[in-house]
Amino acid sequence: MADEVPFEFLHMELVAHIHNTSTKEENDTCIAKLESLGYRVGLSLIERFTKDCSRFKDELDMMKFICKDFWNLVYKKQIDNLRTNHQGVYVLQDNKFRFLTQLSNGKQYMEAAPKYLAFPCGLIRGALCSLGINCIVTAEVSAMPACKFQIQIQRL
Amino acid sequence: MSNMAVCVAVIAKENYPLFIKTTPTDNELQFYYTVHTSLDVVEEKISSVGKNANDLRELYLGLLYPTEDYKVYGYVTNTKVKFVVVVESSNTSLRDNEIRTMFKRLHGAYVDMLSNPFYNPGENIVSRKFENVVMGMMKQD
Amino acid sequence: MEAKPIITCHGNQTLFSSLHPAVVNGLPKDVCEWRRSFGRAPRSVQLEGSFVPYDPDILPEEDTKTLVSRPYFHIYWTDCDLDSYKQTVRDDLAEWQAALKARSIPDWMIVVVVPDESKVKAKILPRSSVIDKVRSDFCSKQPDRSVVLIEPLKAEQKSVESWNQFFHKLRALLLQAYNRHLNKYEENMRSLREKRNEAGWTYFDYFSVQEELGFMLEVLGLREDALIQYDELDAMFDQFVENHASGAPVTWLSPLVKPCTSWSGLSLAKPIDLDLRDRVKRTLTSLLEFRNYLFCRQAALLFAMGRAWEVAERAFDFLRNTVSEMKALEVKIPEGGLQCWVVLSGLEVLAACQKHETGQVDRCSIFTAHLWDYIRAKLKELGQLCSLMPGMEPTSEQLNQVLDLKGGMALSHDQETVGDVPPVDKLHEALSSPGLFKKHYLEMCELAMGTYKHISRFRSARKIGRELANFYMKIGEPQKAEGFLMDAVKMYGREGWDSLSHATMRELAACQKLMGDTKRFVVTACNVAGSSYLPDADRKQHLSEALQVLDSDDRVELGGSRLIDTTQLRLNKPTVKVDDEVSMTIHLHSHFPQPLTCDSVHLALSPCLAHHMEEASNQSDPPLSQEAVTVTMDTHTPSPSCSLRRGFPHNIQAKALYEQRQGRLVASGITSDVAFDLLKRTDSVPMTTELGDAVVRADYENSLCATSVSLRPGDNELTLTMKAREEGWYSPSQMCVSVKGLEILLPVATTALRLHVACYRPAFTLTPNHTDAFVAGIEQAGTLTLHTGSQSMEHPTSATLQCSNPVTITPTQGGTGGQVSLPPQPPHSTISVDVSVFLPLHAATGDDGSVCAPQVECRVEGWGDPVQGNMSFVVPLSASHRVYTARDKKYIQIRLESRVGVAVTVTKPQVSGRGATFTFLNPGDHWVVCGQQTVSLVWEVTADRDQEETEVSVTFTCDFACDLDLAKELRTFSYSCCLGQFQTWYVVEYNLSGEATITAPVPGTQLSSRSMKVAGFQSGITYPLYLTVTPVTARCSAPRHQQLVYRVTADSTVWALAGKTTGVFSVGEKPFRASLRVIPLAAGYQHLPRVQLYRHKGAKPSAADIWVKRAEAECRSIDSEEDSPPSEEPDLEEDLDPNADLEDFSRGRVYNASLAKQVHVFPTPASSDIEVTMVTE
Repeated sequence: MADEVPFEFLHMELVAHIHNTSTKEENDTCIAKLESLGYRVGLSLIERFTKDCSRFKDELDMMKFICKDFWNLVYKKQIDNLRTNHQGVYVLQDNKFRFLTQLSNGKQYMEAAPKYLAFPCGLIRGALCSLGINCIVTAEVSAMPACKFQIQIQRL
Repeated sequence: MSNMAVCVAVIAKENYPLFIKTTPTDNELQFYYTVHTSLDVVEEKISSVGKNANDLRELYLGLLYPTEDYKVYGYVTNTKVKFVVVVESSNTSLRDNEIRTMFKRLHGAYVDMLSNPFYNPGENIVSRKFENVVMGMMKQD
Repeated sequence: MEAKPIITCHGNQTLFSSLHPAVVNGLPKDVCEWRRSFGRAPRSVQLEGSFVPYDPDILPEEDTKTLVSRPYFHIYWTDCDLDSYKQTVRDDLAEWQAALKARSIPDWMIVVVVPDESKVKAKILPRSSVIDKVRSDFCSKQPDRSVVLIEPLKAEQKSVESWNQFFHKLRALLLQAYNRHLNKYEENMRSLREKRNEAGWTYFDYFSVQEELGFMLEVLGLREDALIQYDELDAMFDQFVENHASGAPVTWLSPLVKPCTSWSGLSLAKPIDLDLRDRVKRTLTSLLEFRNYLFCRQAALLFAMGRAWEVAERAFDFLRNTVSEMKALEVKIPEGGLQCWVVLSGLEVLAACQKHETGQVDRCSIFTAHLWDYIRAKLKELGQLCSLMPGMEPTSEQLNQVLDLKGGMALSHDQETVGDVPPVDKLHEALSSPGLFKKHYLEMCELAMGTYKHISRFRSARKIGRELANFYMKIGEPQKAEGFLMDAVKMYGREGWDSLSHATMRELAACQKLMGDTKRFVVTACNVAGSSYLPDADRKQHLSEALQVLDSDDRVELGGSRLIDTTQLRLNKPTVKVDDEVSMTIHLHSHFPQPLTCDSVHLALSPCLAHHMEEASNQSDPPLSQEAVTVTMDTHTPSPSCSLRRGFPHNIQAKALYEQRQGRLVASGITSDVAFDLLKRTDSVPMTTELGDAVVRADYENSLCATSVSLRPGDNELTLTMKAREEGWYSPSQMCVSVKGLEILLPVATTALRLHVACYRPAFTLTPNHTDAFVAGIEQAGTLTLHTGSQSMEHPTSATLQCSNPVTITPTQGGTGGQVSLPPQPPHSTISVDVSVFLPLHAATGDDGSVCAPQVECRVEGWGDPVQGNMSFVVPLSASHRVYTARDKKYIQIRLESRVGVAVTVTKPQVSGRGATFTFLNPGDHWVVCGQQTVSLVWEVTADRDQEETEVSVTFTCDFACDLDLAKELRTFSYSCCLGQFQTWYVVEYNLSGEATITAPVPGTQLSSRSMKVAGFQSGITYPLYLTVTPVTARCSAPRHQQLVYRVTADSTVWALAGKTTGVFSVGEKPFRASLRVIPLAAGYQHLPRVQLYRHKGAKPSAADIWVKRAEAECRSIDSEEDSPPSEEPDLEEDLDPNADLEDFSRGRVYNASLAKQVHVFPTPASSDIEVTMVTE
């Protein structure tokens, strides 16, 4: 759905803009803002993407959709590995995350990684919340460009 | 357009109304009650989908329940947003397929409306564009 | 039809009767598969038959149209032997066959029963048995049609096998027969159907034909297929009706659309009503009757198949469709007739379903609920029609109408019914009087509601609840209605359907008004008034009614968060003192449609913790300028969904996470701090209900208030005030708007707004006027400053000052020591009193020598606790002493230092001590000590002869005066110290000999110009160092013959030492001399090697040790090429280990006369050319 290059550039500029227009004390709020942005976009995107799908059976179905179709539509590739403990925690592993591929190939610039992960985290969270799965999405990167998204689902 | 609905409603995930439009009649509230009551059937239908794996997992739910004067059709998206359309019983020319297309158009309009950044999810729908789509499928007096 | 297909039996009837039960029972035991034509799925059929004796008359014609009740199959039973066969049976068979053939009936079978073999005396000749004969005679072409039954009455294996064979064949042939007939019939039927659009064709004829097929199928046990026939008929009829209604009339339908005079309901008691069927065939029924019949048949089949729920499902559609059909065909029927029919039929279906339910209650309930609702609605229509609803008076016309209606229904004894009470009776009863109508209607409502609740369709149940409530209101029982309405209101509110909720609230208000429940009515009416969904007129009316109804005694509490919004709170001064005025400005938005005159508006403050524990207690004054703190409250979003969005917030406060290990970044990512809280949240979030019941009145003890306020619809600004009473931190918790007795409570809890009511404690300080700290020992002017804090002194009081140390504080203007009189003071003021402070010098220093800082307590009469304060003192002078030596002369120096900034004049210094005489050496008589400057006073000390070895305690006293001293007296300062062992015992001298004189150029000039003679030593050459230790004989108290040790040390880069650098000796009257050799190594003015003297404390070593030590001592010598001059060391004692047990002398005992001596050492002359390198930049 999103053309790769303009989307990447737009995202980079988004991150840069939010950080440049905030004062030094608000550093953490930049990440929170980006995540909220991603959340809102995720909400809308998932409506569009699931418009013509059949109904999802269960939670696992929805996660598979996120890993395959959703990821494909947004980042033009699929999630490489999905793990779960069946207790509401899912770990999505992307070995070549699109926003990080151009940053570095190892540990360099790792301190800048969180900025570029905030929006994708929000995207996943928005998508899942819209599907009815309340969750928290966190991310971790230890060797770029691979990164792991961890989804913790609220147990009712 | 021959699609003549008497009332079109968009219900949020938590079962509160985001948008209800009825043909101007004396007692508009009766449609509200009808739509609200039909939520029972909608919920029943959604909750039974998982149990029968063979069910066609369509978003369109079909005829929810008929009353003497009206027929109520339902449609639930994957994000648990519900569309309800009330049609007059006497409108026998309306085929199932036409109702399906009506819902598809509604869904499309809703998705477009949601993509509007000035719309906060969960708020009442005030978009005129969406309203126009809905008016297009409603019975004009 | 339970009639089984008929099978005739001819032949030996007695035989057959004996076998009859076995055959009848055995036939249906197994199912056989019936393959059908036209690709229809094969069905398993259990065949049954009723066996009747053969009668040629009952043989059916070929073209008989009936399927049921006609003989299908014919069997000939015989157990004859061969002879009787030849004689009689064969003919009989032939006749029978002929008859069958005449009617073209190919379905027959011959059974030859072979009785007990044992009975036969003689074996049948194997040549031919009866069966063979039979076969050859009759069944040549169809050998299947003859069967042998061997010993049928026995239970042996053989007989069982033959029975099985028999049945197998029988079934197959039977099926064949059926198939043949049915196919023919179906073909017939189909061709009939093709003709349906032709003139002269009647549906009902066709109906009978297809129904016959249905019967047959039913008889065969294929109920599903039978149902299909009826369904097909149903669909065909629907189509015809539709066509007729849209303008393509068919003639045969016309009789059905006659004005309808009878509307009796269904009867499901019997599976088939033959009378009715008959009438249907003859087209004598009305539309309703026909429909009744059709549905009844369908229902019967479904019940038989155990699908009672499907009956209920179809019933709803059936009723509705029929009603719309009647309307579409414009059948004239008196008003109410159709409703009656619906009610009756519906009740019948429900009763039947209940009877047949068993185990399918839930499945049924989904449909029965709808049914109940439907017939309830119809009954209501009837009630309204006939004025049987409460509050309506039936006119005579309506009464007639009722009679007509009753007449149109079949009487109960005419119709059988399922269930205990016939529906007709019920309806009759219901229509007869309002009271009975009420009873039935209520019952129906309850049933409908109960069924809905049972299947968890609560919304539908609540809808019926509203209807019920409506009804109760009409019959004047509002208290019963209230419960339903409140349930409905809650449900709509909880789901966010505010428009519905408010509409229902309006009804609820009416209900409560009727009930006379003032309090609740007021609450509801106010909520109605604040609703934006209802018309203005209604809202205003409700509001005014609510206010009218309120008595002044009543107190009604109402949670008003939907009626009034607080948009902004402003605290004008966040910090106030006790008894000050606190004011707050509040912006309110009122949803009421009219201006509301409120008696008062209160804002309750509740105590809260101060987050930063500011030292409020130490503040003596509130900050002078304070900024007002404004808090904007979250305005209510217009959509009611705010309370419903129990989902996650949009912002989860994500933040970056960095993981470090060993100082390096190994991982980074995103995390959220609130994750744990959000994830563990449960679904049950208490929400304010529509009626705001959940609000509890807060504690209004501390509250700001404004009186007689008028709240306009829309935005309002109010200022509330209060007087601060108690100390503490407060934040707003709730607001209460009172109108007469109505109190509207609004939660306004916010921690961003905090009011600090400070109670300032009194404090006092004592400060000296001119210095930082008080000076001990002098009377000093100071100021006592007392801050009254929040206390006040109304009358002149006195303050008592108490101190732990003997400090005297005296007010300068009268008053005795320690008592200060004070004039009246308002709170938060300061008063200063001049005092003079005196601390005697001896009490100024504590035991450990530190200067004291006493605590002062000030007790004011009339105040509770004493006020604490501190004072600090410094000592004006400090002294130290030092002893100096010049050979055997001793001097003591006292140094005085000032600790205060002001100059202190010292006079009359005295030093005294027992055992010594002191001679003052300083000129002058007074000295000024100030700032960093010190004053040194020196005395020469001469010890008395008889006080040689004891310590001399010395006391220094002087008078001092300071400008600060108010008393202008001379104070005494004393200092004591102790001199011990300060007499000189030995004088050590040493020098280097062998000085040479050389000519050297004057420094700073060129080599060849002026030169001078310099005396010095050459480096690298050995010189002798002579050492002399002289005892101070005069008054020397040194012990004689004390072992002494000398030690010579030097920096090894400067001097090289040779010879005995250390040695033990003792000194008598004569001085001790020693020498050693030194080589200066470094050029320049060098100090001589250092010589130190120690006391030796060791025991005398053994001779061997001495021997060793001497060798060691010699080895330790450096560069000892020359012999050590032994002659100059006559006084060396026997060698004791000079290194062991050295004891220092106490200060002053040894005087080193050559300590600072320096000698000039020349460098070694350059032996070769010196290379000089110039480095340029």
